[in-house]
Amino acid sequence: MARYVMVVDLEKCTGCQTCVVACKMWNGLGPGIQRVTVVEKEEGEYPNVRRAYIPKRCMNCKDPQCTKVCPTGATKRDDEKSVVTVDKDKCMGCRYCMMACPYNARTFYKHEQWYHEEPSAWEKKRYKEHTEGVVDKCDFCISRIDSGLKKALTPGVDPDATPMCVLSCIADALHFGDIDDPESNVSKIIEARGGFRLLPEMETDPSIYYLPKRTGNEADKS
Amino acid sequence: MKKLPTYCDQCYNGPDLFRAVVEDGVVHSLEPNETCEDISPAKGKICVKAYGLIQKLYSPHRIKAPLLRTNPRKGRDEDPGWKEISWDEALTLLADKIGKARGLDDAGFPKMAVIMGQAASPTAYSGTLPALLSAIGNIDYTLGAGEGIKCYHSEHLFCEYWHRCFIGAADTPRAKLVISFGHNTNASGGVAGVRRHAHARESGYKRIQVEPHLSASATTSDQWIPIKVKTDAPLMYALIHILTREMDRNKSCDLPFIKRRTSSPYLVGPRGWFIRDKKTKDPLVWDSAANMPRTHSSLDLKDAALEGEYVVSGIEVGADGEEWEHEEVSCKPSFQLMLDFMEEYTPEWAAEICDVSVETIRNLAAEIVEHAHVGETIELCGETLPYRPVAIILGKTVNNGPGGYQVSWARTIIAMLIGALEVPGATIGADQRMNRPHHDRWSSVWPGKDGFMKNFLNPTDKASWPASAQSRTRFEQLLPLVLNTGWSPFLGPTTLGWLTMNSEWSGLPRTTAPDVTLLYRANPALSMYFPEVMEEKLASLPFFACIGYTIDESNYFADLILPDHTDLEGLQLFRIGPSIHSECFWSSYGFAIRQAAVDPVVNSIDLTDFSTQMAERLGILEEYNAAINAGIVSGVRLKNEYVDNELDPATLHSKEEIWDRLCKSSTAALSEGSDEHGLDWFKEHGFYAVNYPEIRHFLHPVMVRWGLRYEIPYQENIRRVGEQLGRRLKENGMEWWDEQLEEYAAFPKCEDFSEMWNMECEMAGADPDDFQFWLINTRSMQYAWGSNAGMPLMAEAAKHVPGFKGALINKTVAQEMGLEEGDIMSIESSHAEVEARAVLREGVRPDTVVFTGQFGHWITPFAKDLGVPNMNTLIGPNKKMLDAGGSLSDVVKVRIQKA
Amino acid sequence: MKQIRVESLLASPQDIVTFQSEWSKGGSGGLLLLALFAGNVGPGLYMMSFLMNFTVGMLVGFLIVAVGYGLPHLLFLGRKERFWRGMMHPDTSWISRGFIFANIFMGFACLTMALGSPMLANMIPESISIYYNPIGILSSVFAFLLAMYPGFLFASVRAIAFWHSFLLVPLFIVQAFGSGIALLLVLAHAPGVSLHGGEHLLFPEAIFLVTSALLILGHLFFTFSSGKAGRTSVMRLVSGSFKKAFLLGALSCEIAIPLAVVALTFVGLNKSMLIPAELIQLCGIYFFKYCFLNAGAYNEICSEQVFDSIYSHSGESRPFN
Repeated sequence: MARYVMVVDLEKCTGCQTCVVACKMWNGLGPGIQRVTVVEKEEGEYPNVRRAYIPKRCMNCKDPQCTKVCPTGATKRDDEKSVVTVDKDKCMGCRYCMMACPYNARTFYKHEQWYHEEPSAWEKKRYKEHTEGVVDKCDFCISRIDSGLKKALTPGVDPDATPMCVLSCIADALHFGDIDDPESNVSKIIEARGGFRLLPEMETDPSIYYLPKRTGNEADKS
Repeated sequence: MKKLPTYCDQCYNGPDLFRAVVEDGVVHSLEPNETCEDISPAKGKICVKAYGLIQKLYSPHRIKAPLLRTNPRKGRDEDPGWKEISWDEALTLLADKIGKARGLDDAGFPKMAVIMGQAASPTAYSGTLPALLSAIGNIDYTLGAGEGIKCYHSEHLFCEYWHRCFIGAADTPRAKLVISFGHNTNASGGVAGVRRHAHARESGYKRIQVEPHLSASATTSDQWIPIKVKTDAPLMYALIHILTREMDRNKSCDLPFIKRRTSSPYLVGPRGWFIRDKKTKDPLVWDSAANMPRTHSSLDLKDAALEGEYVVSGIEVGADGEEWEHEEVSCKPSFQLMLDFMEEYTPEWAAEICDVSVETIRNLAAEIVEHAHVGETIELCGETLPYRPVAIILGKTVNNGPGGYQVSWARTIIAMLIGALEVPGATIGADQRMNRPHHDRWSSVWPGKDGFMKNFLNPTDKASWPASAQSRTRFEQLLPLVLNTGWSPFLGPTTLGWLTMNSEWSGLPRTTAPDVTLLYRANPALSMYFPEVMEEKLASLPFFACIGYTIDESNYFADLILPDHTDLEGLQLFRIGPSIHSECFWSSYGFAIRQAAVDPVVNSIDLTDFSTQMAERLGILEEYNAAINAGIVSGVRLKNEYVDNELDPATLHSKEEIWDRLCKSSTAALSEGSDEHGLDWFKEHGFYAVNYPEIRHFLHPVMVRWGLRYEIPYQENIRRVGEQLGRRLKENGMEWWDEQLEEYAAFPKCEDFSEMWNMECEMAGADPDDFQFWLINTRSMQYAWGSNAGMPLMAEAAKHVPGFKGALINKTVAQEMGLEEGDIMSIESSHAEVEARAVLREGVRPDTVVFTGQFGHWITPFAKDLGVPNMNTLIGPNKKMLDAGGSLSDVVKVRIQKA
Repeated sequence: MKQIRVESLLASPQDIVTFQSEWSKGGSGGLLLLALFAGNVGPGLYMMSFLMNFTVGMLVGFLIVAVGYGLPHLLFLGRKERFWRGMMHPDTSWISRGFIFANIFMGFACLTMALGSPMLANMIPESISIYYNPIGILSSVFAFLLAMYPGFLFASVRAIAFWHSFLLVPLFIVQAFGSGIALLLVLAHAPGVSLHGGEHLLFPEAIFLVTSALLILGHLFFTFSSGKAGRTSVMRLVSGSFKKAFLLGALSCEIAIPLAVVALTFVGLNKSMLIPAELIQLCGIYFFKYCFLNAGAYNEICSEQVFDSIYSHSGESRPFN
């Protein structure tokens, strides 16, 4: 049993969207479907403006809302790896989970669309991996974790056992590992730098920790 | 699943190494290549653009076979009537045209021109094309798009002259303070730049971003100073004023560095030239210890005076060798002259111009001094070097166009004052492009005259100055600082080349259009200023062939379009490391392979096959093979002291054979004969690299080794060059460059350069007050350099980038004008009008609007539907706005209304 | 199977708060709206008709549930062939529960109507037909549960403040009864149909209308004061893009007009005016459900408090929340 969590270092994220596209390519996602989004948020008034880039994805909560509302049992939590998954052979596409997810992190994989007038060879090959009419979301690249664990690799340390977004991040803003292991990379980072989670009032015990920014924008006060 | 190592070099920061994951003959995905973690500054990671390569490969909008134009009339409204033809037909036609276009035309210009896009990238994809072009000979490269007018022009020219700094970079991992004047690292710094700054934030460096809008880089900075557009130079001058005139120079300045490593002590005579020893003609300095003048290199020199006024005898040498002998004449050290010169540039003066408070300016100066660690040292590669962890980096529009010289000079002077030049933690040159060799900074430094490093400027003396132009931009005549090496033709002034083609412009003589123009991966109709002029010129080219990817705004005017392989289809060995352009400092250097991940998707060609076949058709196969043997392609001779892999010049070789031999000779050269790896080895391992000592990224040790001084602060030679150039031009009746000549001053005079754009309005007959906004441009990582505008995937990725969908405007100001998010605005300059969606943000000055990237496409598939305008459209041709390098800034005054 | 449009590719929520769209936008959203409406009116009509012993009303109520509620739900699903999986988790999911309520209701309603049918009267022995009332009551209990469960379904969605209110449970019940009476009164005027004591329904109808009005106002107040998302939802209804649908469509049609007409009949207005008023009320219920679905906004994820956390770094580690 491990509790895999992701740590997002807001200090390092530059909003470049590399993780978004790397995820889309690895997981073969169609147009408009982003398991990861990096939103830009601005606060304050000129010249005292602060901006942040906030990467968002399924929080793979320990106490998720989505699993409770799912009428089919398709959405469930894999307690072994502490990841919430959607069984694409069971989901009937009612989308109740999408309403229930406080993080708005789920997408309905509906009628296939192409990026261009006709599907490319890549689209023809990759979209087959998805089931139409069911709900899609980030599962921490559980297939990579699974195949990595089978090879005795450590998720978050060995590339082949690490989620693609973490692997692809050019700023090293994403970290992944087992928070139950006090020696793991994520445990140490969180211990050193603190961390907060989104919407704690939802009591979902999310598995993504955000590290606060040190650099603000103390604008010219003149 | 196969994983094939390859590289991406779509931007200036590469190549970045990665692996293509291939399954069932289709590229499944791309992944980082962690095996190069130890050698690459990008650690084997690739940015968002590279992940888009799959869509680029499979795009249905690719040109699927060679296209021949059937409609001879060219224009936006003319259907070219493209007809697919075979490669045999296409190459035969092109060879026929080029065969007739070798040599010079009656006006003395090469009959053939080649236009390349980004100065760096194409060579990473162009295979052996350089060998073909070398074999053809007599080609005008000066019409290239993107460079020459839109680059970091003044920084390229001046900073490479001063310290082999084509582009200045921060030694970020060791820096404690980085001040960025508009340098948008997070958008344009590539993987390496983004990583280095991200880690520096983590370890607590301070970054201050000075720019009119809160860019992606300001977002991750400690402080944002929203300065008025184009007033960076006054702010920097005020910083120099504070550091030198308000502060105690013994505390604020690194006086030993200034005395020993710069020309600050050189005495300047009454006519403004260095006062020199009558016999040796070496510049004199005043030795305070001995109370007498000595030559700058005198071994007896104890303490060179920086300040004061001294009576000495000597000679002054002016332009064209003119000499004045002086007896007992009063002279001041250059440094003292600089102190005098800086008197008027007070923080109060700057504050008013820059719209930045005096307090902020003083704080900035205090930060610089506080972080400079003057006197400290650091160990690097076993040597002890000064440690000055303050760096200043410059961005485009700041360091080119009017004020570009001033900014480049002031940045270098601030670095000089605190000794933070070319030492760990400080401002260092990323690389040198005009000076050779490109791949090693130390080797590019040689002792020259007057104790400075040797510079190979284009001659301005009467005997050597070329009275007739050899290229359409006349760079050999007009731009002494641009040199005349491989890169020089690309450094413009491209504007002149195009605007004078087949017509007169602002009194400049006409140039001829080349008989044959070959364009490679560029879109000048969009990326150059004055798109309407560009379209007209492109349409008038007698024979225009384009190596293209999709139909775009430039090749729409072509007679022949030749589709080449994309990144994931072609084959090439390319140099990696040790540094290029920006903060990509490798700890090794060597070669990496770009290999075909899959079979070609369309009937495109590998540029090596193209080049070989063209060489054969042109009957220049021997010259072509000889060029490859000589190392034109990868910088390595096929026959070197370790191996002999020379190609038989008379034979036609396959691309595999060519690259196999290049692989072997390159590895043998790198390993000094201990390794010799062929193409198959590279396809498996991806790259071969050997160690590059980190210390060689810093110029300081080699300056010490040669006993050299940086040629700052007093620009005696620049002034000489300018005067000589002025005389040559006058002698030849060329009076149209007089305004630009004013720039060649020993101390560049500073002013409010933003005023020039008000003047531009007035010249166009408009009231500058009617145009209340400054329109500027910013980059985004998704689009910078990648030619990605036609890719839906990039648009999807960019949707969270503020400003991508329209024009950024201050929220409060916009709302006062009745504008809401997404409203269509009319943006009008004194020259033209465009429309854009309003993107409301607080992070932009109330007097500034910002375009992101370069769009305005009207034929490129998908991109034409984005509805995002191009700022080039708004800028009118005006010679007054060109700086001495022929460069313009991406700035224009506009008025905005709700459409 | 088509190329994605540029606009939809670039769509990104610029709003601070994101509205849910899967249950409101496009053709499938319309199906869900229809089902929500039918799942309210159908059971209401059935219950009131059983109470009034109005067989036609019971039949119509049953049909509305079967056709208007069940079928659109089925069509709404992304994977229709797996509809049966929808009842696998009644332990936690209100969709499973509702599915089961609907099926049991339809079973008992069929039985009740069969037992009460004059056509089948001769074929059913008396020992069985005496169960008409108990089975009818059972069917009405499940009709009640069917009318009630959407209230719980929405109220349990913590992610969407405008829905996360247990006032929805009584509101949906009251709306079911109110709309049931409205449709019953309309049906009673159909040719060849007779209903005894219909006039006694006017007073309870008035009570339901007043209660419904109070519950709606209470819900708006409660959700408005719950935070930014709830406030944004309410503002979308009262001053935003759904202003007309809500103020004119929902509030006026569902409450104000019918209540006024019912009240006027007490002081002598011609009762024939009731029919259009009841039809308007049904439209009003439909508009209310329409507005209700469209006003569902997710709680703000990157709120100002989050910004405070982002910039909370004090140089020391801080406890997790």
